[in-house]
Amino acid sequence: MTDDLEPNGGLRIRGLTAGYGGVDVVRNVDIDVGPGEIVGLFGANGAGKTTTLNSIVGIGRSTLDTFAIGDLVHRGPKPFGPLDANRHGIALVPEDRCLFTQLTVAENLRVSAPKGSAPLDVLDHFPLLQSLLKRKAGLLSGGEQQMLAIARALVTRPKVLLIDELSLGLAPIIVQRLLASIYEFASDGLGVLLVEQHVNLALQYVHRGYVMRNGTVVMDASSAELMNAGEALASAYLGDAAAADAESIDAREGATL
Amino acid sequence: MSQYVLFLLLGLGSGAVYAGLGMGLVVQYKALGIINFAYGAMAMIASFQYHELRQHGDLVMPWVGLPSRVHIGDDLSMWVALPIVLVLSSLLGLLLFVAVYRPMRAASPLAKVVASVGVMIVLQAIVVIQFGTEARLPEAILPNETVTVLGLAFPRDRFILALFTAVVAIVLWALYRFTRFGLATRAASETERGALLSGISPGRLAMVNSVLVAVSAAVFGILSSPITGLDPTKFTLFIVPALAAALVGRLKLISVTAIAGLGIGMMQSELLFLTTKSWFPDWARSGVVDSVPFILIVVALVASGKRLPVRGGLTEASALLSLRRGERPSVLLVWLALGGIALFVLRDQYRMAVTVTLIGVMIMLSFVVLTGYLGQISLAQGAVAGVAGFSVSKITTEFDLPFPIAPLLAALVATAAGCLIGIPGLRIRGVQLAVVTLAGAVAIERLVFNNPVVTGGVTGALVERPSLFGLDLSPLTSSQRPSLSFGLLCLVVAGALAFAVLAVRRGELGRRLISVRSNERVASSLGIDVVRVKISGFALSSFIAGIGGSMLGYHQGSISATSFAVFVGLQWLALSYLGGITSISGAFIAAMMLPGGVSDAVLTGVWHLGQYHLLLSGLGVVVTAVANPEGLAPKIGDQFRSKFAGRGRHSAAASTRSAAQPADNTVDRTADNTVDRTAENALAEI
Repeated sequence: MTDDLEPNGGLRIRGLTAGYGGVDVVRNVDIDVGPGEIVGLFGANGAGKTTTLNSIVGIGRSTLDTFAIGDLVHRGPKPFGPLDANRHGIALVPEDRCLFTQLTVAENLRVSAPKGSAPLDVLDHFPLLQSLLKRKAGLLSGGEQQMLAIARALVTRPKVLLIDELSLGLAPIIVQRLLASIYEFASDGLGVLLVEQHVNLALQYVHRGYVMRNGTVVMDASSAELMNAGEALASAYLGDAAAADAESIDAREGATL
Repeated sequence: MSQYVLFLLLGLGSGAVYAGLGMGLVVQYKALGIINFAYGAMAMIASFQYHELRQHGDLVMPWVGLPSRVHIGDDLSMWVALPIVLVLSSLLGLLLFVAVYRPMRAASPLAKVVASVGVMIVLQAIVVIQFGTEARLPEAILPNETVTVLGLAFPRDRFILALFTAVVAIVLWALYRFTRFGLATRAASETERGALLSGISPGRLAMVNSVLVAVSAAVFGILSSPITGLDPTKFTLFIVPALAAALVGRLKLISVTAIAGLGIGMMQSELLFLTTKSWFPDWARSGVVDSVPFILIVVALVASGKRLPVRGGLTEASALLSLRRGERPSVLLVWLALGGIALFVLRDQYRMAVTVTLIGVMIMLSFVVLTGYLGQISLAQGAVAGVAGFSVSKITTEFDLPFPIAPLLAALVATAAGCLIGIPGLRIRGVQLAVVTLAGAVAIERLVFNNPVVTGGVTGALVERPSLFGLDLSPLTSSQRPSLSFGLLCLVVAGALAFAVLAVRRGELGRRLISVRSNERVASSLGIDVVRVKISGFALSSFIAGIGGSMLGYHQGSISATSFAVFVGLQWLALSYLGGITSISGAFIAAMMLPGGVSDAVLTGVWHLGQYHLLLSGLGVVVTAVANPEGLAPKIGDQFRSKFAGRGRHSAAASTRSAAQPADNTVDRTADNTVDRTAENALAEI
């Protein structure tokens, strides 16, 4: 079944299993991100979201059955390494951003751009960075750093952008702004796979979403469905019993009220 | 007045090679995250190859055993010889990168230091085997006719070299400042993961940089060897002033490093001139020049207090060697019994080899305490032992103190010296401590051991023969053969020290030492006085090394600077690592491999391969550091246990252990594997 995986122009992954040492923390995950599509990846801490993103770009130990990026179909079990992933148009903005803090903003972009491209064009979307070109990345604020991290990923001309914890440590207003610009990129044809803790905020922007729990995908639904599936989401985050507890607390509170 | 200026300018010659090597060290630290102690040796081997090509037309490959000398032609010009040597140097750089530095990228600081020290030993051994130990003075390459400027006549080559250094510095600066390659190197040095995600291959960059610095070392070596002279030891130790220059540039700033290198050369040359003045104190005439880099390094590291840039590897280095529980006393008894039997059974040079091995055990035990338990890397243990050696000479000849008092006093002097060396260790650790202690060892060797005022000139420092209660314990019998009594004395002393170290390991102090080794901050948060523990560790280790040095003094009867040369100390550290630096059995294994020890005697006496001993031990060290960082002892111990499982008192424990082996291994190695595999996957196609 997985052998005849049809490329969709974006990213399609079948049967991704990843882990650390002898323990698999992500098991048999399928993910599709079409061109121009923003897809959310939700789940509690430890559900395997970061591991999934990392293994898509070949960081960490992982195996998969098949995946397709753009028009290219790649059969497992060994995934791409990070450099192949980069070359074939998968870019990751990691949780810790991994900026080159001793390099200036302009140098960060130049060093990441493929030869012969114009790295500073991307700044049209990030006017704030335009005025900070000569500043060392380590001296930027958290929001500016996240912008630079996204800009740096974009200069590699990805087909699909993976973003891990976009909002980590950022003010809500900045997150809003970043999400808005990501929406713009997507309307230009970029596929985006977004890991985000602020589920309700993210649901306003994503087209579809996956919910992970204990290393597997337990829900695959449109954003409208996810918005209405509050309880199921809660159970993915809190576990069935906890969700049931929460319900019963609700019920009890309702009763006393 | 003019002479003062003249000597300043003459110093530009050696200054250029310091600057060139210093810049190479900075680049290597950026690109590979290592401090390459072998870098001076790389310049040296290229200079020898070039000299041999010009002199005899022979191309000498850097290996031994296989045919290694090819005659290229007579009267080769510089334009033929130089490219050949540069190609060879770049191949050497490539080989070292692929075989040593790349596999070690996620290794602990200790393993990295030991590996590069091992490479240095190997290169030096190869040069000594192929070119001999004699100093050469190659003919000039640069025009060296004198020019007269401002009424001063001095050779022009100094100027050209200084200019060349400046040009290289500017080129390198521009390379790492402006080009994509340079930016990528700097980017990858900060975060390899970030680099990979941006499509940069840190591995390829590191490889290109390795080749680049190897060529640069060769060029600087070749150009300045006509001025500095070419001898294996001196040239290899150019690494020390080069390290000083690199540290003044905080392992980051190429321009500052270049200026510092030239400055050190000028300062040394000026000091050399000053030592010829009548007012210069006699005691400081020898070696004061070599204390310049030491002082600079201490100032740069300790006083500035600024942190050196830390390289962000793909994986966190597992900083510590695993530490097993202290050995069982029975294991030590087996070792000692073997030693005792060997002393009784063997005669002549073999008995002497056993005696030397037993003395070596004492010295190796000092590494077990300092590096194995306390986690501090010192390259100055040779100097510490030497202080005791020379002290025992003074104490026995000038103060006529008898046997057990003299070595104890001498060991106390060594303890004081070791604590002094340990003071920088209170603020700095890891590789930086290795750098300071190496510079300190060089300074002590030149300033103290080579000082005729201390050592008594050409005759060497004599040591009276030991005796106790009328019992003659002298190392040689009346017929000039190795004596049994001295061997037994060494056995007793080595045994006492081994059990003392075991007691420390199992006691309160041992737990404190190990807690400091594991994490200084956590240790101090638990109420452990880190400063006190460190000083205790340095003191204990120096005392043990001091006892060893004293016994070595007795053994040799007359000691000179070569007994405790810097390279002797480096080889000691390297071998103690090879044996297994965290265990007492490791000290026994390491001691057998010492020069003059059991393995040396067998190599020389049975296979006639004595001249390869240094080379083989260096190779062994490099291989161990790359492939099996815990050293031989734990490995041999495991083999032994699994082989003899099911016998004796420990059979139950042993057999469960071997039955559980597969499972055990998986669990034990899980952490390692994660690290390895992450690194492997990520680096697979770089």
